[in-house]
Amino acid sequence: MRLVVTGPVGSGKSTLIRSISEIDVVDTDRTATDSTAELKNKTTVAFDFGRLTFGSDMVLHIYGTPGQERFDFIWDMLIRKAHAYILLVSANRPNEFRYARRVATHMNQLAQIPMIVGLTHTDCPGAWSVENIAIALGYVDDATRPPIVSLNPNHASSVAQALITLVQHYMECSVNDKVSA
Amino acid sequence: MAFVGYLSKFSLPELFQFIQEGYKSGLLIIRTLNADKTVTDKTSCIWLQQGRIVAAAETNENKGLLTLITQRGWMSQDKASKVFQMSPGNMAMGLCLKSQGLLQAEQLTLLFRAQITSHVCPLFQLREGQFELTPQTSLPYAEMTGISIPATEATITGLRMLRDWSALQNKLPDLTSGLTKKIFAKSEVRLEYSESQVLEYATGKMSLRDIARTIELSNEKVAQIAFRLIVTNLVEECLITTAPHKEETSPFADLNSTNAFGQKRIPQTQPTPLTTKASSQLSNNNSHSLSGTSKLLEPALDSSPKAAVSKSFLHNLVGFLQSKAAS
Repeated sequence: MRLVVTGPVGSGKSTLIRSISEIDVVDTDRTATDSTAELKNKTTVAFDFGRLTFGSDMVLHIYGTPGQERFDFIWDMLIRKAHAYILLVSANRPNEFRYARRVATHMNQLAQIPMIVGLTHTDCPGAWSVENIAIALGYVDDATRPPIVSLNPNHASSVAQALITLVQHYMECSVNDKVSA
Repeated sequence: MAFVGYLSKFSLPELFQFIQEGYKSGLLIIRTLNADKTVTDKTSCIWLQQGRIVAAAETNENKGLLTLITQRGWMSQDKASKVFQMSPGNMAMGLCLKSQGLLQAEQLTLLFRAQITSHVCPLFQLREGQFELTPQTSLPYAEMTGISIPATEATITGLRMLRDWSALQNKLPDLTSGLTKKIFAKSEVRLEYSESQVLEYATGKMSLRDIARTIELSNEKVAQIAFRLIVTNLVEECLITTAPHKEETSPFADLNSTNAFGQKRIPQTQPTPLTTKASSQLSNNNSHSLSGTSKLLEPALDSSPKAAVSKSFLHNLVGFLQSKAAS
């Protein structure tokens, strides 16, 4: 199974994968040279990869998209092969909500796969409420809104909890697809 | 509880879009800030009901509409106040005066337009401002004409009048982006010709730069029009794919090769994401030089087709993650 972690620069994608992966994460972080540098020194220029093995032959692959929009062709490759994805959004950076909304639109154009929203930095000053972030991201209808979870990408247990929500959402969507078919 | 933020982080067009989509009600106060972010005396009050603007004034003292009426010489402040005070408490002042034959419908329209153009439209050029949205149950009847517009209609009106876009420059969509029409978009806004032209090409397949070339408008103008359509909820900005998708047929990546990121070799049978060649090229380049073809990274992904995941796999995975979550 392949999961993708996406979202704006600094939302915690690389950290999330590092927290949960059983292998040393293969990352492509390089020194940021543009406006990204205002947020952090390094940014992912290609993608991150992490892995979880369970049972004797069961593997979960987790891919993180680059934070910089100019590498969007990599998102194409990642999302077309993904089974589900999580959109990470920093709750305290409203200036990135529009970008996150654009990412979700783009992802949805490429592949209609189950997704959840993961809110990071919810305990930081200036963090918006879940309800208001949902509206700002364009999820105005409770009935069609994807699951929204708060998580700390630094804590493996918190990341695991978010992944459970994603996998369970994937299972629900699979069941619904079968019923509607 | 009041919802507070800064226009430098969440611009007024975005805020109005948020207010409309969230059907927000209450009093929105915009305070102009100095360059050092200290609050000035200059404020604007905008009253909202279910995502619509019902009134706007300079202060929250219930005198804005009276002032507008008396400034135009339509009646004295005393007379208007007396008539309004005798009316039932849940009637907009404008409608109250109209019901008494003291104002005509056209005059109410002019008054409401004056509220919007004087107290809302100039806010779009604010570079630094603080907003505070306080949910409020009672309506400001003394400031209301009885007319209302969706918040985003004020946006499109204000942005059409905007001459200096510097405050919103970094909010404009990139020229490489495209637009897609929102399926359920309903708008009461009458579009200008150039806006309709851009909307026509909101198919998700054409970049703004190409749209500009096609309709023979400047890139800057098209980006501004696109922004107006986005924040009016008519379209969504989307990314135009730079490389066509191609089904991969190459075998799995070589997993046991040396990782050129300076990381240790991973001894396992499962695929790692990057081939030696791809990772070497990545490590030898900085971020700018990575803008090459997607071919470089294509072999990096597990090339097996996206198969359905079995129920037992999913149940085992949830169980495994639950153990991780508990630890």
